[in-house]
Amino acid sequence: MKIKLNFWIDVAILCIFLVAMEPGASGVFIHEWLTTSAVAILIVHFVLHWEWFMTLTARFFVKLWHSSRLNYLLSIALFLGFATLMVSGFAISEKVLPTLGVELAGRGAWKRIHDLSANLTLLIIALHIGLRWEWVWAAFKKIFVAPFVKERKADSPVLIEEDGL
Amino acid sequence: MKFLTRFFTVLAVACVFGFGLYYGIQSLPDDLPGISQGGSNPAEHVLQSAPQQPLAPPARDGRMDEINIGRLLRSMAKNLILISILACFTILAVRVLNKKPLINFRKK
Repeated sequence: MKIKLNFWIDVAILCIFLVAMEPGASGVFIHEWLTTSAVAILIVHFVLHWEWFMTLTARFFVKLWHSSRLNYLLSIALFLGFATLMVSGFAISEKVLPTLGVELAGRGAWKRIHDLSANLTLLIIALHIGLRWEWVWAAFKKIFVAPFVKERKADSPVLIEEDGL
Repeated sequence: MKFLTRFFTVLAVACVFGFGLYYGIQSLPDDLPGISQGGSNPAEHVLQSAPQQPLAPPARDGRMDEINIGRLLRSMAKNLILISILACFTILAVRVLNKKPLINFRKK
């Protein structure tokens, strides 16, 4: 159950991120509201990996040169990347914050920071997927392949009987 | 309850970082390159100092309110391919560093 939930949350985040990467095509309205609502999904993703994060935080320096340490640092970078994206996005917001009656003093730099953090976050997402590929592939097989294999196994005695006839 | 506590802890950490970043950037002096209120593009400064002339219609910068499905799908595909290529290189690098075979031909 947890694997399925994690998998679909990851897929949702990736899809929202891909849509958000092209605000000119999705429209500013959808871009801003979609990404604002994605904050909750992102936080759920971080919360679901809380135990892993806390365990590694406690043991970080025990065995420093291990691939999980790189994954740990990438996760922090990913968190900071998304937080920067949200802050810079709110700073240049044209729809969400004005609708909520909030006006932030913007500067020219925020647009650049938003673009740069989006590109860097895309890079970090790719590295994150690459490092966690074994989990992604195992979850994919469990969700999409295993049910059909089980069905086939369940059907096979009937098929054998029919063949026997 | 535990989930909510963790949820709001993560949110609080993000907010602290966000406010720190926001006020950090806002408190930077205006004369730093790329920080000014009117934009960071040097071309804008040239335009500001140029004599007043009738302006051409504003160029479309791609930030519209209409949904362009074709462009959206193209962009998503482009970014997905980019992510796939980078992820593939990461998988290969991890396998090389862990001295695992790049392709396992042995059947289980």
